[in-house]
Amino acid sequence: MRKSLLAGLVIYCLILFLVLYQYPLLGLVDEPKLFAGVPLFVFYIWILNLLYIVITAIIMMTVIKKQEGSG
Amino acid sequence: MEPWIIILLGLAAYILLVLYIGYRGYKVTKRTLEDYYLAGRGLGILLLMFTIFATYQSAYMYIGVTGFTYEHGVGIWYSNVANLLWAFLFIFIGIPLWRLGKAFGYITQADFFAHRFNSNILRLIIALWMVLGLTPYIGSQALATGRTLTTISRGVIAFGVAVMLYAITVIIYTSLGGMRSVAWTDLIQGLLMLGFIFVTLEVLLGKIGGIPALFEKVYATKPELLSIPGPKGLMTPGAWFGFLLCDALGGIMWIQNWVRFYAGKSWKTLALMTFLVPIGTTLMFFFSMLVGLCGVVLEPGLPSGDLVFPTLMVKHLPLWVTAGVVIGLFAASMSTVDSLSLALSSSISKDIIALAKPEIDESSLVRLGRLFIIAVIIAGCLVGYYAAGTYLVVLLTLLSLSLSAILFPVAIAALYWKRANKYGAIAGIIVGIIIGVKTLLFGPEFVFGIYGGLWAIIGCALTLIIVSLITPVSDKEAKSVEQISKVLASPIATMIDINDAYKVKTTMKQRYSTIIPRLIPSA
Repeated sequence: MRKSLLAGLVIYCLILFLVLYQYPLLGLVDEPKLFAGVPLFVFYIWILNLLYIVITAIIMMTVIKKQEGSG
Repeated sequence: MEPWIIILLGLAAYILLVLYIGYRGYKVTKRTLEDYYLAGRGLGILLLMFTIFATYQSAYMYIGVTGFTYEHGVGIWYSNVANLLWAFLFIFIGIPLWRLGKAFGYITQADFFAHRFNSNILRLIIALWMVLGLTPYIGSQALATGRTLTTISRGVIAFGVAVMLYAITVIIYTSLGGMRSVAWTDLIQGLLMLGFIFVTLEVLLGKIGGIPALFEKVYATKPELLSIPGPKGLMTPGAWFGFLLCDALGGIMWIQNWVRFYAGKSWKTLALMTFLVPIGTTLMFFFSMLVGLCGVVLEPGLPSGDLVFPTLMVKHLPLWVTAGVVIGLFAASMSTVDSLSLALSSSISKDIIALAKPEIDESSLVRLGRLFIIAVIIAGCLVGYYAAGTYLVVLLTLLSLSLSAILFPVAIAALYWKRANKYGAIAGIIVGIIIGVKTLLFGPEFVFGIYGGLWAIIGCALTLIIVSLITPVSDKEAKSVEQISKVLASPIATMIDINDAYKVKTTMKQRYSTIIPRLIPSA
């Protein structure tokens, strides 16, 4: 579990910051138009930021709980 | 009563509060380097979160982000994304450094590099570069707030007096209580800067009709502000990629951020920062960016983006909000300068003075450190004062930022690659600096569409690898690597569960017991 978690953290970081937050994916939402009253570009990044905070919080809390559980 | 007097009274109350915190910090701080510079490595979740958040967010959040958005649009989000990456890297750099700092008694950034590569030359290069490069940054912060104070007092408080008042306040509370005072003031300052930018936004949105109305009005007048590269074509995909990486990697290597890795209470405290700090930075960026867009609607046609925040403040905010915003601006600026001056002072004391006079005791270093805080802030203000508006301040700050990011491959190699040696590290830094200076200061800033700062990092990494592979690792270096490996085994595995991960049967306590006595005499 531990080595795979380490690998998972690196992959998560690479996918998030070198793929999802980068072009060409950003290019798909890079139109100066509004979506639900918010620019698509801002909306996309806002959602990713929120996901980052939630997913990272879950990962870190799980790691800490496991560590505490194992003594 | 004149409005500016009310604003100054609010500011005076704020100054008295931070001075009181400084005094309280002084009463409980011991005369040891660890206690003075790192709050005894005992910062809990709330204090660590706010000191990291407030240290990283300077007056730039009020003036710079709003101005950038006004001129170039929502492309400023790159900097917020960089904040997230920076925080995530705490897992790979911050947590291992917390553990190493505790085991080997690191106080400064250069302590780690000097120990790992067994090189005092490297220690001196890093310390001198940070001190020379970042001192003018202190000046630029003092000048921005000094000018604001002069403007709101309608010239009654002269510019020089305003800068002096600012400098004296930071000097007193920082030098008195060290990291403990800085962390507590950062908590107050972080809340103030976040709170008052939010109130500012609320007032401005009230005039415009809410967030959807704001976006619709910007879309109707200047739609290119709502996408990248923006109206002036600045934020190209290459710029987005390069700025984001350099901002994140430079941020994690910045001396005032780095020392906070040593100051946490436990590795868990640092692990929580990976998502707690981004909550604050994301909110701050979101509010600042929207304030910049409010400027597009309410004050179109300003000659420079830097003017948007002061203009909105003067023309559109009620007096009590203006007073709060001035305090928020001071808080944002002071929270960066206090942390920076403290980190630079520790570097001068420990990396330069203690190197020249190894027999000097800790309490003398703390005493000298207090004087260095005064010296660094005065020097920064003088450089800023006399070089205001000249190329010197920009040049030195740019160079220091570049070097910060250049250190990233050296840090990663130091932690994760046993074959990396001091020749590789020094050669890598020199090559990185040359590329950084050439591209960022003399141009072209983009080579093959990639930002020069990124080329500097790549150049440093490649040189480090090649030189390390063709030069030997000295016996002393190998011993340092062994000591670090024993403490970490694997930094990430240590964080998760070292026994299961690497089948290491000894406990951390057993491991430390063989290392600490040799390295930390007091243990």
